[in-house]
Parts: sequence; C-alpha cells; structure tokens
Amino acid sequence: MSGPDEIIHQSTRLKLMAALRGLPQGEMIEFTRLKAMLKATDGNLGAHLTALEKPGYIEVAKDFVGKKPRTRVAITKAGRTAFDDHVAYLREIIDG
Amino acid sequence: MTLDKAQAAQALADIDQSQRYSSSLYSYGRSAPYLVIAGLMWLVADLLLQFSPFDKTWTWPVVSLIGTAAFFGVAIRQTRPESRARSPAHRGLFWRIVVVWLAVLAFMVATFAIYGLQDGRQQHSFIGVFFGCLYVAVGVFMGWRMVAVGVALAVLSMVGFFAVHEYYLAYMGVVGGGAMILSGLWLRRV
Repeated sequence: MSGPDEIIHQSTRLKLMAALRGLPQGEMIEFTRLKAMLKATDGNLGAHLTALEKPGYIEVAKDFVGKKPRTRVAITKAGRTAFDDHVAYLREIIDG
Repeated sequence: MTLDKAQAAQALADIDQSQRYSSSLYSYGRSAPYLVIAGLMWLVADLLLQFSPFDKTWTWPVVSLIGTAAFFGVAIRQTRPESRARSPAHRGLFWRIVVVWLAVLAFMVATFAIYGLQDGRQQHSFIGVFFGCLYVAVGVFMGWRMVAVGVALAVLSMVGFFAVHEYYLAYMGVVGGGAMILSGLWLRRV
C-alpha cells in the first residue's frame, strides 16, 4: 500500500483538488468561483494554491478580461495522477 | 501520517461531494447562456405576437433564426481552439451541439405534422412542456437546479394552456421566457 499524499490530504486542499478533478480535462476554473465553492478567504485559498502549485499539481493562469484581472486554476497531469493515487490509497484503507 | 478507516471514509465523502458540486457548477455555467437566449427568444416573440399591430406571420421564424445564430455563436465561443487544445472533451463538441439542436427541431416539426397541432396555444404549450421534461431528464444527471427549472417550465406551460385565455401569449412570453432567463442567471451562481 502506498502512503498518503500529505500535500493533498489537508482538508481544504483535498476539496480543492477534488473540485478541479471533477472538471473535464484541461478545463480551468476562476479563483472567485473556487473561493465561493470552498467558502475560503482570498488569503487562505491563495496559500493553498501556492502549496499545490509548488509540486506541480495545479497551474495558475493570470490574465485580464477588459481591465479586470482574472485568475484561473487547472489541475495538471501530475496533479491528476497524484490525486488518483491518493484516492486509491484511501480506498485501500476502507477495503482493509 | 497514517489514517484510520473513519478518516479515510470522511476524506472520500468530502472528495465525492466536492467533485459532484464542481461538475454540476461547470455544467450549469455551460448551459446558462443557452437558457437565457431561449428565454429571450420566447419573451420577445410572444410579446410581439400578443401586442404588435404589424403582420405577425414571420415573427417566430425571424426570432428563431436570430436565436439559432446566437446559440451557435455561444457554442463556437465555448469550443474555441484554445479550449479544444486543452480539453479532449471539447473536441467535436460544436458539431454535437448542432446535431442535438437539429434533432430537437426535427422532433418538433414531426410532432406537429403527425398530431396536426396547428393551434398556436397547443404548439406553445407543447414546446414548453417538452423542454420542461427535457430539462428534468438532463437535470437528473447534471444537478437538481436543472430539474427545478424543468418542472417550473412544464407546470407554467400547462397552467397557461388550461387557465390563461385572453393574454395567453403575453403570459407565456413573460412567465415562460422570463422563467428561463431567470433560470439561466440562477444557474450561473455558485
């Protein structure tokens, strides 16, 4: 049995990765939408995104729509693999 | 770090809930513009039919053409090359949307022809009930908001058919079209 992914397993990051994994491959979600979904603050969500960006689990894209700044987030291939491995680990625990 | 069965079960439940929520929101966000366009078509056409003093023969065909162009405009925007390159799910999506839309139109024309639904009230109410049921069916897979939209649409269409007479078209435009516009805006909310 492989071990848990300690970066992913933290409660907010787990929900964040699950939310991103629930989207079609390559699809990005806006920061504001993610914040509302997770009921997180700007600072809190930003910190968790940084923690997930460091190992390459997510990618963060920043651009402008007109004059408004926009931040979008997507799960990467490495992130999908790590998340799926973590879910498999959790299922192994349940199955005994 | 080691986890026990209860912790693992809780984590899996959180994952399932978050995935279903984000998947529903994604589908809602994709569907919302189509609902708003359909609602606007319905609202404008029926208000024109009810109150316009001019020839009304071409009202629905013209509104349908404009609406169909707007539908395809949204579909093209949602399946632009940038999206297709990133997401395999988007490849061929535009043509799937076109085929679904044409199939719905063909079904309507065939139904009217077979059952001889010439009366505007029958046609209007049938379209409302049909789309209502379609949204319920889609909502079963997509999320409860879509089911609520479908039920509202079908019920309001039936109420209009049986209970509203003099201002039937205005009722269908404002209530049916308005409900779809509000539903589209509601689907966009988190």
